[in-house]
Amino acid sequence: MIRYFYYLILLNMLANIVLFVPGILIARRFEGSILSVALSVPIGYVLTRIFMRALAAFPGQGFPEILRSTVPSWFGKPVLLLFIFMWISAGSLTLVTFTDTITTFINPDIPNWLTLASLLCIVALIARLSSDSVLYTMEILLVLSAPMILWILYKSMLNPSFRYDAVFEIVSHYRHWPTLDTLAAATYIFTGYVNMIIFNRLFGPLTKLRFLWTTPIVGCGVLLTSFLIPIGMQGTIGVGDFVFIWSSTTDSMRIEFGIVERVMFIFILLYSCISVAGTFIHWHVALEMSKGLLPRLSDNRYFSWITVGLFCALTMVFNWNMNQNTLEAAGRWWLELRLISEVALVALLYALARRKQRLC
Amino acid sequence: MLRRFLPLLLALLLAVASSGCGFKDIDRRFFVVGIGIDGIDQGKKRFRITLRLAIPSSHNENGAKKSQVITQDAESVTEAVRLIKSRVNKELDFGYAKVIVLGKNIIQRDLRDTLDWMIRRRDIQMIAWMAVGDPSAEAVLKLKTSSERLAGNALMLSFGRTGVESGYIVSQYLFDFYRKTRELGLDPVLPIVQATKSGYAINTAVVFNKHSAQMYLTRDETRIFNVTYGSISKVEVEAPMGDEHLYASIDKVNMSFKVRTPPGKRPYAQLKLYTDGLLEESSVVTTPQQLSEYEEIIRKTGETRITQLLQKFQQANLDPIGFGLDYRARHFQSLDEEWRNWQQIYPQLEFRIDYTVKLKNTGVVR
Repeated sequence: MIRYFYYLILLNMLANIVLFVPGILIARRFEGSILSVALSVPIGYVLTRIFMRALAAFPGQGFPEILRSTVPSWFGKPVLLLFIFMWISAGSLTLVTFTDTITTFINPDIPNWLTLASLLCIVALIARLSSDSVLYTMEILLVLSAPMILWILYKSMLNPSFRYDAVFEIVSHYRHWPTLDTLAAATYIFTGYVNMIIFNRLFGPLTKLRFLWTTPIVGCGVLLTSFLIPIGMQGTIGVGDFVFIWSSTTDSMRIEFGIVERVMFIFILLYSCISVAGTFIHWHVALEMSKGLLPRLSDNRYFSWITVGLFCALTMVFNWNMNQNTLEAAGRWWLELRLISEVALVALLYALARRKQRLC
Repeated sequence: MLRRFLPLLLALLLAVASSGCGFKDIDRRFFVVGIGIDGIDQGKKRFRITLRLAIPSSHNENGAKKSQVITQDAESVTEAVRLIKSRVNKELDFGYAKVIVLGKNIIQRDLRDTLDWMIRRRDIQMIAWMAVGDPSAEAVLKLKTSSERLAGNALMLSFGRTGVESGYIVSQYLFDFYRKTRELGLDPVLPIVQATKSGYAINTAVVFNKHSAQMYLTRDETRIFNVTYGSISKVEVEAPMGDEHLYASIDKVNMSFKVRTPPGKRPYAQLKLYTDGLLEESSVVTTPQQLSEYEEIIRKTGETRITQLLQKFQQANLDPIGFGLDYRARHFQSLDEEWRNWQQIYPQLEFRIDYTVKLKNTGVVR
């Protein structure tokens, strides 16, 4: 069962490409991205460690139960509401940006909202399953797509057009202080563990995490590849011109004797798995927290349908009002808010765990 | 309750998904296999677009015949494509355009202007091959070769070592060309495709700066550039031996370089070149004992030729090898500062070439 914990982390790492992380880092490639990548590794690791240590004090409990048993509801409910908002928007942002990619590169003939609606159907149906089914589905998608993604990354680094000089040129600009947006983007890689605030229900006491030390290493690798491969392929200056950085980068790769010569289509297929998996995990967490927020209503058998329907409606409205510019701004803003609220969440949980241990 | 609604829901979904779809069948599409852009100067009309369209057919053998070339003059690329659309009966599909040819006269203009349409459009492959057409892109695209099995694939096979491997062909992808037009310290090079009566000849190249074509390379220079850039693995090299000549066929080329700026001394670029091959032709009697002597001859001529070519680039302030980018990668100042320094360093850069030639044998005869 413990492997699902690592899956959650890995899924989040891979999903960074959809959620503007390379875009933000590349926009500031000459001014502090490299240092924020370097800083994000210890920050992410320490946060994970503290969070998991604190969570070990509440074996088998989700966030709503923890809040209910430790703090008064006038404090607990708004906190819960804030985090529900964060998790819904995480899923919505992923889907909306990914819909944008699909409409641009795969099927421009179909209206944007229809693509989104079909993705929403899949996500909504899965998100309201029980927690363990959600994890199993995620495992299947991840196990199917991760090896191919690794293969694409590997192929791109061996590509004869890949200029290592361009990569080193960016690395040589490490002497700049990171800004909040680059730091927020870089730390997103390590955020997968926060989903445990709901999935902790399925786990026993999590004291032994023997492979936790691998996360900073893998995370650092994933972050560097997702940030630096586009630079190696598109050049230090040219890379800033692209909107869909990774789609254009994979479009620049050619595998002559692969199943499809153009890597971009394989890439988009794989990332549709990853972004769908990421979204239903986020929405499942949001749904479970909503159940905790409204315990009396959640007994109703239509509660989960209605809630998920509401999520979908919100996403559709969000999609309707967004263009490329506002979407990017929203993504940046969301990532910054996420960093702050993540630190707040870890601090809160740590404080609650300390108090509980002192009481016992 | 749920079970009662589920079929309804599914039916609704299917209805929605199948109705709004604007997908066109294959027999209602023209696949553009080659795009040509020429520059013209007729008042407002600045571009001449030539599209080579493949017509889908069920038989592979007579596929080659089924292609059509359409030319249109307009003031912008978009306008030209729109006008072409009004002249054909099927939807144009740019997703299979594998070759983009720029006319010889348009490369004198600002490149950004010409490239913008191709980069901005979502459906043009970034891995399309770029070339310069001589005398014009239109002439190159109108040419039909008898060896062509599929419409437009003769030109496509010439590039990227898929079909023929020649030391004279410089291959350049669209994305590669674009990034070089933007990158500081790495300049683009394009092959020139000459349309003759009997077919194509691709054996020269042209070097660009960030804006337009600057230097035309001769045939020999193109080959030496290819070896120096390390972009090919099969090439024939020639070396004089007294009055006679020696020809070696190279199977493997490895190239690496470093730019060094030792304080107080003249900056230099250290090129390491390793080639591996065998003798192919000689006008003198050869013996296996003298192999190392032949290696030495080839090495010496190679070194002088490469140095000459690099110095020619240097004098024209062009950098197709990427010395400037390497310099930038090894220095830690800000972008502008590095670039300003490099522009002072490059004219006085010294080239040190470390060229290793390995000849395995004298061919199948002694």
